[in-house]
Amino acid sequence: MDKPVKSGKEILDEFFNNIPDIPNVDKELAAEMKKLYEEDKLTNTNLSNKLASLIEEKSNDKN
Amino acid sequence: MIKIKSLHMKGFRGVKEELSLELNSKSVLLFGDNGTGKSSITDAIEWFYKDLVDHLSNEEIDRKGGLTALRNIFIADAEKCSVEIDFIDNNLNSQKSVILKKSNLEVENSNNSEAFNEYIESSKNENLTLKYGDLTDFVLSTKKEKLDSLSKVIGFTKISDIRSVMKRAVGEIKKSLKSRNYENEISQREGQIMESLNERVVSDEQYINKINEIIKPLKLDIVLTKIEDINNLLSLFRKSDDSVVIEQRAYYNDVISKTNDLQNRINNLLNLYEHYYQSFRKIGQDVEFLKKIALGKLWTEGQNVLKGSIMEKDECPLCFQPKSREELKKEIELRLATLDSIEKQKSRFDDAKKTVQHILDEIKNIITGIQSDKYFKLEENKTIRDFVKSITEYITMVSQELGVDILKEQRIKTKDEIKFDMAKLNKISIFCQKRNVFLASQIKGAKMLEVQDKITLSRQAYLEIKRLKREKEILEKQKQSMEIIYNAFVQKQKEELEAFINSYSKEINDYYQYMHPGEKVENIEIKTTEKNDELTGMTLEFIFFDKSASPPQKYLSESHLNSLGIAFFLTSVKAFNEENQFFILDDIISSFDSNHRKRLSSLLLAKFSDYQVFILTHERNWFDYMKNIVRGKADWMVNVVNWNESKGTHLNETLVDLKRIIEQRLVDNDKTGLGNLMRKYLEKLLKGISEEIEVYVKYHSNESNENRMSNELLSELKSKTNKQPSKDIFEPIIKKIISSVFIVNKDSHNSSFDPSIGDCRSFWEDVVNLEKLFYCEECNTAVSRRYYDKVEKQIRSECGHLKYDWNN
Repeated sequence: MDKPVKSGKEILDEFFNNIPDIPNVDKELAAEMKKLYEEDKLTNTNLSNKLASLIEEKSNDKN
Repeated sequence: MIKIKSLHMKGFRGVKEELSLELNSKSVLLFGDNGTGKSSITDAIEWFYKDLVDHLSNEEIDRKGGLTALRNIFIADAEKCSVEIDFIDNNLNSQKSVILKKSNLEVENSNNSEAFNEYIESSKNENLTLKYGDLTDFVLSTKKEKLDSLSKVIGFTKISDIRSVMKRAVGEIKKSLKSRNYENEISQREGQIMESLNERVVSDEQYINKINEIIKPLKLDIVLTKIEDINNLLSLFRKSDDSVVIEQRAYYNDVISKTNDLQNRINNLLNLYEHYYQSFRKIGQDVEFLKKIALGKLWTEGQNVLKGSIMEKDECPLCFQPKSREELKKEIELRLATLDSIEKQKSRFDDAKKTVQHILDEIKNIITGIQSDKYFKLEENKTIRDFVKSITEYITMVSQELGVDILKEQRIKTKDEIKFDMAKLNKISIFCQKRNVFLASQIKGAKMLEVQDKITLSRQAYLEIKRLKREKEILEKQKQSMEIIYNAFVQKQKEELEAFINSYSKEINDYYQYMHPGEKVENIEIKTTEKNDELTGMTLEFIFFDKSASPPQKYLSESHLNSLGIAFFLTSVKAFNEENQFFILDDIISSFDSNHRKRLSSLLLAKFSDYQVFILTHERNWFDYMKNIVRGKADWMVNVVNWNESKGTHLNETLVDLKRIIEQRLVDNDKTGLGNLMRKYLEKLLKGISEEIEVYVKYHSNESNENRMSNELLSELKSKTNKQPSKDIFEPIIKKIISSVFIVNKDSHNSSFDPSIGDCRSFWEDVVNLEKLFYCEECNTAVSRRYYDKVEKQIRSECGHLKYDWNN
């Protein structure tokens, strides 16, 4: 093969390692998603809960 | 990467006694007539890595991956059924056995180290064996199966799962933003501020200035500079007994806001409920179909049975009624495709239900907020309590509709049937406003209280506006971030998949063209199919007589489809095998003509020379052709698989096997049969040397040719070497062997001559010295006429390390 085949895991690792550097993305959200992925907990429920708690935390911070 | 040093099988499948392959990382070509059990070798390797043998894994045999079919049926219960593999990395060596313990079959691995377990786990998905029956598995699979199969191997399944999690999160945030109706909530609170302060407030500074202006006439000698100061100010006011009136007014204001909020949410609930209702109706129309989700596993299993070689007759595997196997396969495929669509509908239905549940939970939270205030229980607030009771009953009613079992109930309430009486919301709002007016009249004229009232109510509304704006801003930012992340992820997936598919397609095409040059099947490519931005399958396309064509089975013959299967397997070996540098091709060329067989041989030798290849075949012509090509190659060995009642499946003894036995007996001082073994070894050695340097012996017909005695071969070898410039090197040792007592007693391998162990050692030393004269210690190949150097006039071994001057 011309190029070595990247496994799905390699592609995901690469993506989530770079996720905090994607322009115009909330750093905290990116960090939380990275953490969920690394802990193998990136599911619908976990992400939905995390997004809700981020909204709550940030709303409270300002109040 | 890992190669196999040796494979030992005992009591496994066709092997009754022992079958040993001393490979030392070499490739091997094995011939065996049908029924000799050569596939036992493939089965052994498949079982060693995958814990099952695919074609034995069916319920007709057992539910343990064919375990009961692994033990040779002629071995005693106490005997072991084992597969032992030694690797170039000794840490991975292991013997895997099936042992009968108290009527139960148990599997044991001699190596239980972490390194070994990790190695086996990561080898499980590697492409190690290809059998004739599996050749076209990928080529003939459906588009979705192709996608699933490749996705599984390259780990794209996980990528698709994560992509769907992200997509769903983006959708949820969008829904949330839409359903909250922030503008309405903010505007309602702005109205409250206007009512208290008679002006709009757009900033903290403006708000603080306004409060300072209101309190100035009170001459409190206080000037507020920030929002937080308002709290301190209010705590001064609260010392008054009448401030309870103001707290109550704040409560009623809060209830009015919450009522307004509830109105939005209930409207939103009704819209979402309608979606849930329609979804219920759609899949509830044919509940029998829905129940078939449970049959999915059975159909998938049936499909596997039909694809495998378990059912040979054209009949249904369940009822055994005559039925075309192909039709049955198509029928099940159709049912599974329909099931896939039902599962998707069911998943959408579950999602709709969850969304309604989510908004119900939000309504519950608002109600809890109203109930938890200390003024909720005031006697005069019965209207509020009645309202709370009524809406709680409403929540219970909607929850019951969500809990309806779609498999049991025909219908649920329509949107109209669950409509909430919005007049109740108006009523509570009017009640709170009236109470507010009444309470306001009680403090009218009391300047301090009027100021406290204005500040309390405006502060409550102002902070709420700030919270709502902040929440909206966070949600919008979150939506934007999630959309960017999702799009970046989709882009990454596309790029990587495209890169993989392009490279993978090129390799399949190259291998195919190697086997079928100029045959008008060109540019074979894997193409993806998509629906709604989601990958749905993969298909194989190619140029057939200058026109684009797909699928292959529509255009290509059986042997061409098989070639495509081989090309796919070989590509997968290179693409995906990260642990193992070996693979097995078990009887894969039956449908090929001689030309394509030769091309496959040349492909394997040209492109997979760094791999350890196991080729098993029952095709004599191809075996002879391959044998000729690999003859003299140090990294190949050739053997024949046989079967008899006492040994079961076994291999012809090779020089290496014989040498190992002889040297072990010499070490053990065991001369039992040693003379015959050494004569046998010498005969095989001489036959090999004679073939390489072209020593000719008198013609004998048929089998007699194979039965040349050593003395005849030695005599011709002597005659040949005597004509060479280097004759002095060869002569002493050949002469010594010819005159040996072992050769003089040549009349039979079973002669009555009884040599001492010392005689044996001395003769063996001569045989080994003869071997060293002709076999290179560097590359282990014999000096050969094939490597004749015409310029230097020398015969050489393959690597050229061993060489002699030689007359052609």
